[in-house]
Amino acid sequence: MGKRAMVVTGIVVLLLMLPTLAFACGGLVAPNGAVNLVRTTTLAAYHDGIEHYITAFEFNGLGGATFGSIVPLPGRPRSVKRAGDWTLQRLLQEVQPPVSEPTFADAIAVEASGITVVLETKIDALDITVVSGGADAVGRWAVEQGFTLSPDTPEVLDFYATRSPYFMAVRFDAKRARKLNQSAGDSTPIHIAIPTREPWVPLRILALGRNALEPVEADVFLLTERAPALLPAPVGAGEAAGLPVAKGLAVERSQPASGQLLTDLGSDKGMKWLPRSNMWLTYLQLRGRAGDIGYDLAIDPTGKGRPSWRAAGFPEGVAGPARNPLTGPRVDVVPSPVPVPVAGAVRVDRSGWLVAAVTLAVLVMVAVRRSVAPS
Amino acid sequence: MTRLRLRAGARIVALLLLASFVAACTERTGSIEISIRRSAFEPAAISVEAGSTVTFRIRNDDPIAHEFILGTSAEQAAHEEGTEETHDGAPGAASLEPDETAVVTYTFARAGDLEYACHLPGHYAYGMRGTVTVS
Repeated sequence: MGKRAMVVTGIVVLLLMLPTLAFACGGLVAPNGAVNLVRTTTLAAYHDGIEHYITAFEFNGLGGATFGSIVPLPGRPRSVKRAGDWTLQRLLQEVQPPVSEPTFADAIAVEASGITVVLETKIDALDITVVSGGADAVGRWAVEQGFTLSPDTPEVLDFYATRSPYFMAVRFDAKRARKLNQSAGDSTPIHIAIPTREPWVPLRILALGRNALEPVEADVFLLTERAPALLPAPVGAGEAAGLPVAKGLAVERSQPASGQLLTDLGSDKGMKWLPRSNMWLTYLQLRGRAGDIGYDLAIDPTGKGRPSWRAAGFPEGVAGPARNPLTGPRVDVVPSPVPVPVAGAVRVDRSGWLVAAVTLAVLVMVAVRRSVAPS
Repeated sequence: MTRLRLRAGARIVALLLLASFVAACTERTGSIEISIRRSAFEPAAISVEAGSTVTFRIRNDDPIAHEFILGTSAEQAAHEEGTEETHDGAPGAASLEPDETAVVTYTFARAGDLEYACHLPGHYAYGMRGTVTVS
């Protein structure tokens, strides 16, 4: 590891779902509301200024339908390649043994048109397109690609577009999967390298298309050179500091990564960038409801204990509880029911009637008076 | 005698004309702009008087399609179960593609509470609805 690498904290963030849990690092988009994508796993890594994502897409229902996932990215990716086959499994295996008493980070800082196709590639049965654009442009583009977006999509795209214009759309080609002899349950790992100064893990996207009360469950792994500082703070780690708390996110393990784990991970395809020693493993569990996941997870890789509020989605109060579909926003614009029909917004034009009626009345009166006047 | 009758008749005609003006005033008309953004109506609550005829100009600023459907709670419940692909041309209803603007005219005959809502899959449950208080 070079001098620069010794200075920069490498961060590996892995989002895994337990086999029986519904989890995705991206928001599902599917025609007619049919969701066939059952599993998406993501590895996001930070080393030498590059954030690495390794995401595995697992599908079922190879009935020919087109479906896929939208993954918000912290920046413009440098490359998108096929990842090794067992990195994610090895990390999951690492947390299968009994969990030791967790320890928390030393410090959690209080600081907190048009669309451009940046990259297109095909990996196994996946069609991957990285696009850049505003929230509306990305949404329209997805619709043009034949996907039906859930009603919360505009709001969620706005949430991410304020930080980064880059989104990765992944579509599953069932015909190609059959040619590749893929079957339901097979997964394809993807490795995305993204230069960025502010690494973050997309969590709010997990709630896309879900009812506010639906559970969102995920396993989050961090691998850093020292205990990381996170924002919002996992439950139990930030209340004392008065920080916003990541409702539903809890630290389950925080300890030095074993040499064996790092050696195993580093020997997988495309993982040479991973340091082989002096890394810190943090394991977090996300067990919340969709309505609670109004944030992303910002990570400070510098060791200064100052994760970015912006990276967590908090600029100008953007991050917060996801909108509750049971109530919805309400704007009362009815200061007074009079005059009708709509206070403040309706233009009622009665002047024509008034002039016509009075004129007619006068004319009739005059005509009658003249007709009956004494000669 | 004839003169008196004519004067009385003129007064009656004048009164009738004024009465027609009053009647015209009760048949009030107006317009209101409604925008759709982030799957929400703005404004989400309005008030009208019974007998009013309102022209709604609805603009969809979202990148996804939406609907604007006026009706009672029972009618909204029926729409939620409905399968119509479009509502264009139906009384008090319109389907809107992204960036589209629709004009809907509706007469609120009786006092009561109505709703305007979108019934594309999941939109109503997401909270895409507004209320009309007819007094």
